[in-house]
Amino acid sequence: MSGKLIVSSPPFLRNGETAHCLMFDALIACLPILLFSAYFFGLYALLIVIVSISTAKLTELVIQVLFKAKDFDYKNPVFSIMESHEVTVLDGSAALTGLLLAFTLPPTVPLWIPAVGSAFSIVVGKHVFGGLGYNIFNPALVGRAFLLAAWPVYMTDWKSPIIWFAKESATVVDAVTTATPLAAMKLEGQTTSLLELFIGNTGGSLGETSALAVLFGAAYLLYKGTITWHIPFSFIGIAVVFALLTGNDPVFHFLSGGLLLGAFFMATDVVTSPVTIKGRLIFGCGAGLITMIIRCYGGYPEGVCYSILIMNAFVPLIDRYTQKRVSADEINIPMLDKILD
Amino acid sequence: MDGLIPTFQRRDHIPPIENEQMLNSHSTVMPVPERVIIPLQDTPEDAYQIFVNVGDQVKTGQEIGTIGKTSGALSVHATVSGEVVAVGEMFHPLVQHVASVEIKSDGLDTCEVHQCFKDSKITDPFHFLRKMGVPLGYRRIRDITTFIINFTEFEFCFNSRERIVIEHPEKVVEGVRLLTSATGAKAVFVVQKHQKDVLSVLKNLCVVTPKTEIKLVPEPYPDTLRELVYQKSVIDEKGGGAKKPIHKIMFVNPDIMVAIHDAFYLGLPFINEFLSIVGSAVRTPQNAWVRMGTLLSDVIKYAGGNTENTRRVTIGGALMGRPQFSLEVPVIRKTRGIYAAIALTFQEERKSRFYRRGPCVRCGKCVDVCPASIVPNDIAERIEHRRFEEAAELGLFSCLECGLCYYVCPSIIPLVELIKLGKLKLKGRDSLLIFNSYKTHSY
Repeated sequence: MSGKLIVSSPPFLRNGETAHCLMFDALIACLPILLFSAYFFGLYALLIVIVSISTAKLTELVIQVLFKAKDFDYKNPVFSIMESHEVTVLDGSAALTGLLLAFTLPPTVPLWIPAVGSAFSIVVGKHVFGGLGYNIFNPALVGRAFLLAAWPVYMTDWKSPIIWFAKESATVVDAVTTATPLAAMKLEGQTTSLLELFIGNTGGSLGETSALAVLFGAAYLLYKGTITWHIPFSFIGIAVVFALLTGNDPVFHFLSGGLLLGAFFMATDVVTSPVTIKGRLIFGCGAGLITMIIRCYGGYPEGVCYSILIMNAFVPLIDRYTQKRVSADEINIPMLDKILD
Repeated sequence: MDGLIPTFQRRDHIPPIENEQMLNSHSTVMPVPERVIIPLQDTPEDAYQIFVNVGDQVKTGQEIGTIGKTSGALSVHATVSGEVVAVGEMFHPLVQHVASVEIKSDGLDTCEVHQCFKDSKITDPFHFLRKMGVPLGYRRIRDITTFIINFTEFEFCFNSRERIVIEHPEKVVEGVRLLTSATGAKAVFVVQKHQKDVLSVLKNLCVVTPKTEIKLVPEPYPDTLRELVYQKSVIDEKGGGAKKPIHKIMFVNPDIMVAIHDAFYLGLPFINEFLSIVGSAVRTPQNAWVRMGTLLSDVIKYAGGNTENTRRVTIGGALMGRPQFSLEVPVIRKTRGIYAAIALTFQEERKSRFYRRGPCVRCGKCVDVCPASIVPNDIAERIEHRRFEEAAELGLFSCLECGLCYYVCPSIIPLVELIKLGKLKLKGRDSLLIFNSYKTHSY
């Protein structure tokens, strides 16, 4: 006679991916950007990132211990963090929020700016709505929008990248204040060389200057299947088409500012983007359109942050209206249409 | 940092289907088992007839009863020769107990000779097939204009369909020819591009036989599609104005083609089932011809499995099978394979938090893989909040229960279970596709 059998409902197979993998995939994809920003802006850039990530994690830990975790043991905190089911500091989502927030900051900010910003991101952007999976707005962008409104001086203080291989004058010029390519274009009509924009040898936020690094990370994310092509490609496509139609330089708009970083890393945040395929295309197109409207006609030189936040607000609506509604007992079989032509 | 290490692997969105070793090795024939249980019902409410008593000696292929009582009843044959040791309620893979006949084999396997169609005095081919116990949808078969024969493999490691075409191409060809000539319908073969052996056989068939065509499809078609098409046709008939003639479609499996050929030309009743036996509890996964009514424990032992440590057994595959509570359960009609695994299960509290159910992060992976083009996460969320009508509006009944959404879900949400629960609560057991697809008389 055989042993007892387990009776449960199929399917019994899983491909082994968990929500943690999505977060860590994004973190791995951020590595080239981190390296490029450390190269161009020095070790201070790494310091900003470290402060931002650790504050984000600490804030999440404090909030979860205070309000959520019932199985947290105060006598044995380290073990509790490792084992508790309700303290999810180690799942990578807080680290990702902190990292992405740091990428949107100028390289000269004082260190309390990333600390305040990532704390705000975690509290207001994420945990006010109920934590992972329930937030409406991208937490990192909420933090940036808050910082930009509260301390605009610090947030628009751009520094030119370090010139490591100066030709004749061996003196390394430190911290020359400069403008981002978009601001230079908008306010003074200056253009920046496209090669420098591509490599990242311009002024700007930590993560946004180098298109090359962002494309490396994006290729990894697309290869791993963490993101699908719909949101970033429609985002960038609409932005390029808009630039063409309005007589701006499309390659310049493609490479400059946070368009690539926003399209591949911010807009594709799983929680705050639509689930339906049609919805993802609408989301990307809307974000691209708003970005270009702000860039060309708005008061700010850059509009990626606000465009994604605005489209985040529409996500529940988009999801609702891109799903097919049927009468209660109607059955649709799209597979059959393919073979019955 | 749990979750960092599993990150360094690219995940597939469909389960591994190709099992090279199994696909390239010839199928085997399982020796006659010691005893068989032959069920005469699908559910305890069905009508049946029984022609034998306890103590009778029966031969292989002898008619021992019928499923159904009217003139449209399907004959049931003894699958081994020997003595009838019990008649009564016994275990059945779909429901707990149904009326069955247990036969103890005498090891001789003496066959009762049936006449082939030409020599028999029956003029109606479908009446003849019913006498031979071949499960087809006889109630609707006269109206059918399109037979869809699905050669794609959806289930994990199953390849009995490909194997049967590779080994018996002429039988499949003859079966298709008989079916189309008897009804005047056309046959559509659904094949995937990578199934090269199947494609070459079918291309030859299409040249010889009129009214056949091949459709190449990008992704495999699940077996439950058959049931869903039937449900839709019932709804369409009620509603009247159906746009597409969906009630004139019938799905037939390739192994039924072989059975039709054997019955017509050789006079062999439908007593063998072609199974893929896979899973971690089986040492040599293989395709095998198994007598109907063989107990699952015998099948697993035959494939080199140890029934002591087998913990999870399903009739059908790991994605869409029917879980079993006992190994003393017979192989029934329409079984395409057996999945037997060494498995562990934990209470939800004892699971590592890495493998616990988390909140839905709305990544949309279930939407990407869903062959029914619905949004599983939204439907499951509504069912969880007991808003069943809203779930039905979002296309709950279009779900094929194929299990791919659970396969890819990073938050480990039991999407398929919730969807089945919603169907059960709204329309009862008859709306569950997997349950229906094993019934002999589903239509």
